[in-house]
Amino acid sequence: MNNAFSLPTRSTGNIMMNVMLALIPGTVLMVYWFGAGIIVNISVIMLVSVACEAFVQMLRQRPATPAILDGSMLLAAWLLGLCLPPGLPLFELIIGAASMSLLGKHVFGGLGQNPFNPAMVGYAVLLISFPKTMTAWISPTEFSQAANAWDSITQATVLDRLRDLERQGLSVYEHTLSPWPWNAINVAWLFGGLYLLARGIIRWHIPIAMLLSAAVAHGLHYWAFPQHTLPPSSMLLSGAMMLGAFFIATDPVTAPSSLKARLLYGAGIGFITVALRSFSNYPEGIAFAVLLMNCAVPLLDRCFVLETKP
Amino acid sequence: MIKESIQDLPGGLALQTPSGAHIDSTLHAMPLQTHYYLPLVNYQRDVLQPNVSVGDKVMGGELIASGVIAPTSGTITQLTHHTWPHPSLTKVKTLTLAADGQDDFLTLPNITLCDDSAEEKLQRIERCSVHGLGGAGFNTAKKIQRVMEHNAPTLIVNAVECEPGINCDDALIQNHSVAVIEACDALCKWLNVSNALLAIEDDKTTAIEKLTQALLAQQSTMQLAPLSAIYPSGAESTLVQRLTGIQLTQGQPAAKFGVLCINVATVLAIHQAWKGLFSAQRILSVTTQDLKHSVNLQVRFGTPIDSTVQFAASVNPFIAKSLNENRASVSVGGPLSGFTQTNDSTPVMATSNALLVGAMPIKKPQSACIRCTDCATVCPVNLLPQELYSAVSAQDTDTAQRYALDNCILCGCCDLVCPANIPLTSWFQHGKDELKHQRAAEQNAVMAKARSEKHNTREQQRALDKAKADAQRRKVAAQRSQSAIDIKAALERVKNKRPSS
Repeated sequence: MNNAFSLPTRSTGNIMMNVMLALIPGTVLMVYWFGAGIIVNISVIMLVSVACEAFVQMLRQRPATPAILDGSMLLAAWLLGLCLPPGLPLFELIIGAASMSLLGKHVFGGLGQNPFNPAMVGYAVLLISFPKTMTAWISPTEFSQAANAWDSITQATVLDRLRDLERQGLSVYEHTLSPWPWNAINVAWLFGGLYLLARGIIRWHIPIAMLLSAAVAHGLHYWAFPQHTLPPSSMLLSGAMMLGAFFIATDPVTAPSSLKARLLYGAGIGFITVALRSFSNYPEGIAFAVLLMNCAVPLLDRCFVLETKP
Repeated sequence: MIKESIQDLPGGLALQTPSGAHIDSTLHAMPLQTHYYLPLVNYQRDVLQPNVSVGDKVMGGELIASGVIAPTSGTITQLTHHTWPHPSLTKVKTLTLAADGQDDFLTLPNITLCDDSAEEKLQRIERCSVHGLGGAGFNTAKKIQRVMEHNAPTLIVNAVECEPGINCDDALIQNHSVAVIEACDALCKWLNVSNALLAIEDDKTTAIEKLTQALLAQQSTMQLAPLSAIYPSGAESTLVQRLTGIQLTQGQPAAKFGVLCINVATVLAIHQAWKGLFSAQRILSVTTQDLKHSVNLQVRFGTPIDSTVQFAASVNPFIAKSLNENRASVSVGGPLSGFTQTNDSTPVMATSNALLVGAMPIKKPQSACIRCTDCATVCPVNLLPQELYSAVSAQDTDTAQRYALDNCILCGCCDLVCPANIPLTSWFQHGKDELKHQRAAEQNAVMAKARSEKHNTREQQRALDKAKADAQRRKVAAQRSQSAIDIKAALERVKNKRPSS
């Protein structure tokens, strides 16, 4: 197409590159507190998923290079790597990456065809298959100490801790939690998300709807049982909330098209996340919330035909 | 009916001509050519029957087929299949006219606005072969006739160019602003128009200035409606929506709502037709592929594109330079709607508003759709191109219709922004063609069914009639045989009664 109009044109690779750029600050903070294990996770998953991508392209007799260079698999690998605790056994990483690439994307026909978020498919497979290793996060340490992070005592995250306390029937406030590193990491994701919004890579509908509905749902829960839950303010900055809102739920392939449907989609994810955090056996609910709402996308798309713009 | 404020489009793109672009607004009249090619096809792609045969001498303005006039005087030398300016690059029946150089035209009497009847005025428009000079090449008389059913219609004179690189309407206004306003006023007066707007992009400052002066001088009732330059405002449906808020679906004429949306050059052509001048030429922009240089020519219909471009090159050295570039080609239409022409002697027609010359930009490799919805953001008619694309490429016409494929105006905005470089508009054109075929097939099926049903009832009736006739025949035969038996029996009885000898 003639581009003598000097329109700002984007390419798929360019979009993915911008998202990866926005992931850098949060990733740096995670490495700072959890050690190089994060980098190991991300790199192993990237390598395996790129290998899977090349393998599938070979089977389908299509050129592999453009498929790898569009960055979609690398981005998904990065997101999955961020969700996994450092020090996860190598074969689990390989299984996660392979499920992400093959089950999450290629069985449906590759880029643009998958109904489920590939990174969350990989995460769900790992969480269900290896619940013990998957919930064992090492305690956040300073980078100086993280050299021997492999040996450091594994410790549950804030949300894990909270669940344990709740099970023992203890009040949250009687025990000191140190949510600071997680809060900081969430703020970093938030800034990354704001960058994406400013660049027009994502639109506000999904993240805002998701955070609002999570806040409202959690607020109701907190109002009913203040003893057993975190205050809503710190809830929004705990776990993978910001990462989910700005980087995972906004995946265009698996989100609905029209803006109204996106509001509902985001709200659904926020609500289900809080419901899962509060009432299920899992400490974090984003992955399942995203996957569940992915199921609803075809229906949402059907309901909001021709209502694209506000 | 006109809204207080000008409605903004839900989408569209602000396409700018590159900085430092030089547009030559002088009208360069093309000299008379030796040969003209006149495709026997109308705006609806119906093939026409010629009124003349090979060897006939014709005068300029003579009807050589229904709605087609000779652009000059000369001899018809050939009736062949020839390419015409259409994206399909197909060939249609075409008459070749060898000009005699006299350029004699038939003379028609003047039509005066007050005295002559509406019927006569319409007939004159038809006779002078006035067609929409914007882009669709609609039959103007028919369009006006449809509007005349409404009392006090709204007139929108369209001087919004379709795309960057096309500036023929701008050039026309800069050179003939007074005649344009006169023509608009005449049309208003004739149709008893309640509201008359002249829509033009607000960045055409020279044209707007000239129009304002002309409006003042003529004390015209026309109102200028300067619009921000958003592509595709030049399309009838988008322009009508921007100015009146009425949303037209594809195939729905604005005339249905009492709105006459008509190109500015066409209005002038109507006025000239009343003065006895035939609509045998148009203004055409020849622009370099990078949109930096542009000239405007007055070209007769039927002029080969090749000679048109050569003439433009003789006027402007930059066009000559572009023409000599590597991989240089000529495409008909603007940078978005244009299509590359393969045959040099394809003629200029009423719809040919621009020619682009130079090397075509290299196409970027296409990748998969990631549903980023950039296309939906720019769509001026509120469609979801990404959903339409998945439906059309899967040949699922039902779903495509649910996503309102019919409403797509094929403007090409989505193509421009797609990060995966998917040729969406080509897919939609393909989908529309498929839908058309499917509908035709469905209609054929309905007709065939009706035929077969009729045939069946006919057969049944015939069988019934036959059965009835058979029964009747059998009855008669039975009666007959019965009477034969009776006679025989009677004879027998007589025979028995008679004593044997």
